[in-house]
Amino acid sequence: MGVGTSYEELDNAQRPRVERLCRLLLADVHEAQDVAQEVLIKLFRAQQARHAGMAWDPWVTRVTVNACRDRRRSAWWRRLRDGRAPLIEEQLTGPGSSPEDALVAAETRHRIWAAFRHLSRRQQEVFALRHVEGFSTAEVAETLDLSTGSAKRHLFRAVQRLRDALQGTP
Amino acid sequence: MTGCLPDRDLWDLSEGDGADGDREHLAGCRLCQWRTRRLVHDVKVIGAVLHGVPPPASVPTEAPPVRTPWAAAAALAAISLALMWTVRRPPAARPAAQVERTDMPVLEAVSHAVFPDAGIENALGSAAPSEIELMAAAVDDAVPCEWQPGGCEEPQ
Repeated sequence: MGVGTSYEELDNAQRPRVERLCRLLLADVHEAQDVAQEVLIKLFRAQQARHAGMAWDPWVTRVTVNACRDRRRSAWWRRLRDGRAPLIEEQLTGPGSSPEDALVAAETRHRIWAAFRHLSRRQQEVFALRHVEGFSTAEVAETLDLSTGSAKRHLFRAVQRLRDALQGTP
Repeated sequence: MTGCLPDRDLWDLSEGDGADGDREHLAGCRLCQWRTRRLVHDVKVIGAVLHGVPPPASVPTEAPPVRTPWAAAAALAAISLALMWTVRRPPAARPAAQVERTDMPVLEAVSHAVFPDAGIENALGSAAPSEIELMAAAVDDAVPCEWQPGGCEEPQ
């Protein structure tokens, strides 16, 4: 994505990733949609400002992760006020299931998602960027302001817990 | 699996890291090779599942949900306790006598038992005229006769 990229191209390229990351890092579907919209508005403004030589992928990732963190910090009072909104599949947009995903039984998918929701915030972020978004470990560390060693530690703990869920180990 | 590598080392090797010795072991150990393939496969499956949409039913968050009525009740109780504590807190400058009477009833009872005429203090206390009473008495001519110009002689 170069300097001359139109917003439409930029939006088409970034929107699925922004929505996916928000869905991963926020448990509430409405909050995920809100935050994704906020990030896309920031993207629009940044694109209008025409930042020369902007590398959009890391910028969008960083802005999305920070927006999700902010929302999670302020989520406690909203939960107190509104109660929790359930996740409803029909309300979610994004890419369909992959062939590998389709092979995994519904119960296992449930377990994996539940295990992911029970990871720490850091572990969620590191795993999502590394194994869902395909960042290198160094890129993950840089995006999240972590040392590479720390990113690896979080990643391995996340992998252990998620594998336990995959194998049905309590 | 004696001598085989722990998962953490296999993970490091699969990520392109790890010690040379571990890499040599992996190259020669079919069990560790199988475990590494399994590890990489599992992570790929997990990544694929998380790449898709969450399952239809509600997935719990990392923190247990806050139950609104209980939270509200707890907050109300905390506020009530704080309010009670503030209202019932003793004032900073209370007279010593008042403290003795209200806060130390046992000591007061013992004091009365040991010094039975302690009530005289009250009697004296109540007999002592205030300035207002003296002024009122002067106005009413209720001054002792010795102090009056005519003395105490009966008027003729």
